[in-house]
Amino acid sequence: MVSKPTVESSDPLEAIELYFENGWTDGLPVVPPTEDKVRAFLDYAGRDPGEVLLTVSETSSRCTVEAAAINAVMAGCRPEYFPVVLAALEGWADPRWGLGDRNYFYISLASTGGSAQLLIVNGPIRNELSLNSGINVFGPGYRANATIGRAMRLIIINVLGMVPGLFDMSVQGHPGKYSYCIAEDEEQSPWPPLHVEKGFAPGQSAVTVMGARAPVPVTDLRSTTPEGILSSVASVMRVAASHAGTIAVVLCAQHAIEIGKHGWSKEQVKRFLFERTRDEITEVQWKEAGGARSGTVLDSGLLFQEAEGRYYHGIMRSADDVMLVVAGGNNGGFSSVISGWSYWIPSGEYIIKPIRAR
Amino acid sequence: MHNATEIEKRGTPAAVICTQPFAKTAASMAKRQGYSSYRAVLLPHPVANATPEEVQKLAREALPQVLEIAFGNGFASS
Repeated sequence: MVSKPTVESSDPLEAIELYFENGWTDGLPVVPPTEDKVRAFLDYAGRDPGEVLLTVSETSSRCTVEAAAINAVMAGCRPEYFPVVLAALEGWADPRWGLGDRNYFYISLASTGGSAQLLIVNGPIRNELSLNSGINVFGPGYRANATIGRAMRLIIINVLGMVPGLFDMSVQGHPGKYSYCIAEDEEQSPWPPLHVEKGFAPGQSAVTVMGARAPVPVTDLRSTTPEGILSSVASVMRVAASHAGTIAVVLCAQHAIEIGKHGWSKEQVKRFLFERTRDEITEVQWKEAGGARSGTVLDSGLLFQEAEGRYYHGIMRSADDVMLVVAGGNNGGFSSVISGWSYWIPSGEYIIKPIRAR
Repeated sequence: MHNATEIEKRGTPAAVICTQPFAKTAASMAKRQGYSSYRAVLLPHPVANATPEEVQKLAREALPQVLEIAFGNGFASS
């Protein structure tokens, strides 16, 4: 079911009001998507307008390249931002989301638990589009960040039918549902960037998608060692964790550089965080939690595991559940932890798609 | 709701029980899946934190409606 309702108006300001009245906005004014504007996006991307990028069977909806273009225009994007939107949609369609059960993608849009859809961009396109990876990375001020993130939400509402309060039943939601698109600060990071970690060439631009809750702040203005900074991160991870699984750690440049000075690799960071967010328990407690049923998840979200004859409960399946990104300025000790919601993917894998150049 | 409509399309009777705040969601989803006259069994919210005894009571109260919807005229396709 693909419908393309239209309005007619000779006045763009009147058209903006009509879009409000029809419920086709996120609550903010949209750019009226005239045919010539949409055509410019389609021409830039060079894709078949009728190509279906994403199907959501629960609402009988499909997102075509054309539908995506319409909403990207509405969001205020420039044509050159459009390939990022398309790559993100391909990420949303990835069968690994839900570990084989696509219902989990729908749930990430519908659930009372309320995730937004985070985009993390890597590669040269960050500079081409002036995507922000530094000061105020989760905040306003940069057209590419603001409008790419917004395009994704407008697609969710207008194309996938996930109208807030009707099919999107998040109890509280969070502000990331307006727009949630960041770039990684590859230049200041002491480590390989996210996409290179997963086998992409540094010069290949890519976008990672995640059904994500709000950033939870890590305040550490004092520590200068990896152990100090990461202990603060681990403390916040224990609070921020939702269901045991992939969890994003967004280290500001200051924290990342400090850790890098001590020569710690990403693997060492992830290992430290995994071990610092789990507690050893007794065999009796293990049996009370279900014994040999390894991986029992209780309401608390804790995962019970046995490893080498010892028993633990923690918030991750393995150290590979940490998705480590560097973003945010080199001007203070504030990082973030972002947990997922209905974001079940294989441990250690990221849903990351190449951004296709024309 | 979309699970129930899928099950019905495959020829197995189904009924949906949901809590009051989701009444409009259920009705809209049923309509979207082609069952515009469908109604769900509505329970007071919340149920997730009800005691086992409270759940038993709710289940007994809901049962007649469930049977009517699954096997009666409650699930007419449109």
